[in-house]
Amino acid sequence: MLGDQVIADGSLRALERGATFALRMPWYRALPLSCLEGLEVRIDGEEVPPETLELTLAGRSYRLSDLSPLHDTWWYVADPIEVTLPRSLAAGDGEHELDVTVALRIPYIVESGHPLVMRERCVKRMEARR
Amino acid sequence: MTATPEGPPKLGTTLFSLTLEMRRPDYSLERMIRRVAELDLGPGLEIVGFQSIRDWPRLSDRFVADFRALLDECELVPTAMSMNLDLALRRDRRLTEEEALSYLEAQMEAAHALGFAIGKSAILSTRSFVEGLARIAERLEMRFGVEVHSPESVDSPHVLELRELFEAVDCPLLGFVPDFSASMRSIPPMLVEAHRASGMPPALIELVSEVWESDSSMPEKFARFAEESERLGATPGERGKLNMVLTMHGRMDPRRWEELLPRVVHVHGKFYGIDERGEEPSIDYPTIVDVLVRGGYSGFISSEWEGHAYTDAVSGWEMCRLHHDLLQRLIVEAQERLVRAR
Repeated sequence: MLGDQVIADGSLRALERGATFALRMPWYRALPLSCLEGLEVRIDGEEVPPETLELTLAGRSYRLSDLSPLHDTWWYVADPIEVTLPRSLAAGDGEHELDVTVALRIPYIVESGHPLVMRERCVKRMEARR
Repeated sequence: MTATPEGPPKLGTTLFSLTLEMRRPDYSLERMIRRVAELDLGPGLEIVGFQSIRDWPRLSDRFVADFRALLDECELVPTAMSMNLDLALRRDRRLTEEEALSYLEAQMEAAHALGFAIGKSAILSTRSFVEGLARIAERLEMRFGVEVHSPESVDSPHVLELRELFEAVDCPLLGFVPDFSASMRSIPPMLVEAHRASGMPPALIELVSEVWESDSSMPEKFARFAEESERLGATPGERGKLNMVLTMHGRMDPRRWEELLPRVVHVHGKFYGIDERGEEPSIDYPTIVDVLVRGGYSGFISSEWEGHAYTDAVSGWEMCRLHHDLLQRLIVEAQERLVRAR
């Protein structure tokens, strides 16, 4: 069920430059940002290069490549991550399809030294707000 | 009237049952706790530290004082703090044994500050780790339990290893938390319905049910399911979901919990659904409650509804209320049987 909420309903917004949406924790508990091992975003069928995504949490911005050492910076379940993509959308131009896959390391499920990395995909259609 | 002077098992709720409710925008931990009291889902309250407490296990003095005052006001008892041993906290390497022990120690201290009597987590099964854990439990005067959750059972290799270690270290504060996922009588009907509704091929659902009900060992079940599901053309996604059905629901005889009872520090009343007759169709609660009452277990049973992983169409609050009604009825019946037998 949490996988259906990965993209927060109605959270797509068109900015001056680019667009944002709210990414919600697909697991029941808080995890450090280091556990966010991958994020793939497609908008209207087109892949957004992962290195261009900007993630904002608690007023700080990160690139995916910054996250690996952040094992003491916590992503709490109630706090969405604001994801910014360099894709200009016009507000009021109808529905867009957002297709998001998160790869999340589950740090306490470790088999023979290898942690479980869960992949959760969520696809939603919504209009962009300004 | 009961087997022990301490009385029969006591009821409680883990906030994990309300995983979907607590994600709503109007959620606050205080409101959740007040609701537990309003619906009479106590007196025991269990929480998952990393789920319900921001910055866990770092707590401000203000948070600790407010939490304790709220539980007093609501007349709730903090039972078990559910903790995690994040061995893969770092991306580059696993925690060392020393780091792992410190990681749990910080959580035990936080649980202690909040008034919890029991900590619960997975652990490393080495003698030195268990000895370290015993020292922490003794210093804080808390008990500590390792959950016995499917696919583990009372005699799976990992649990046997821990049982031997607990005896060898000889610390009465260390024990287990039975979770009834390990002793189910069927795959939960609501889970089968959820898979059907999501378009899972009926032949695969039939296969997993048949494999689940067979008497072979866990590794044999996984092997048979992998082989036959491939023949039926299952996709990797479908196989992954149905493998979880085998992993998450064990078929141990519920009477076997009895042999673990002397080491039981807390109980997880796992359930998936309550039918129109007030019964849990996939878990033999009458037998389980009988084992607990006859065995003199007088600790807490936390109602733990896991159905939220498969549906958001029902209320976790309502489910816990029905589960409490079931437990209350079964405890009275088990006590009456005990009196008649004397």
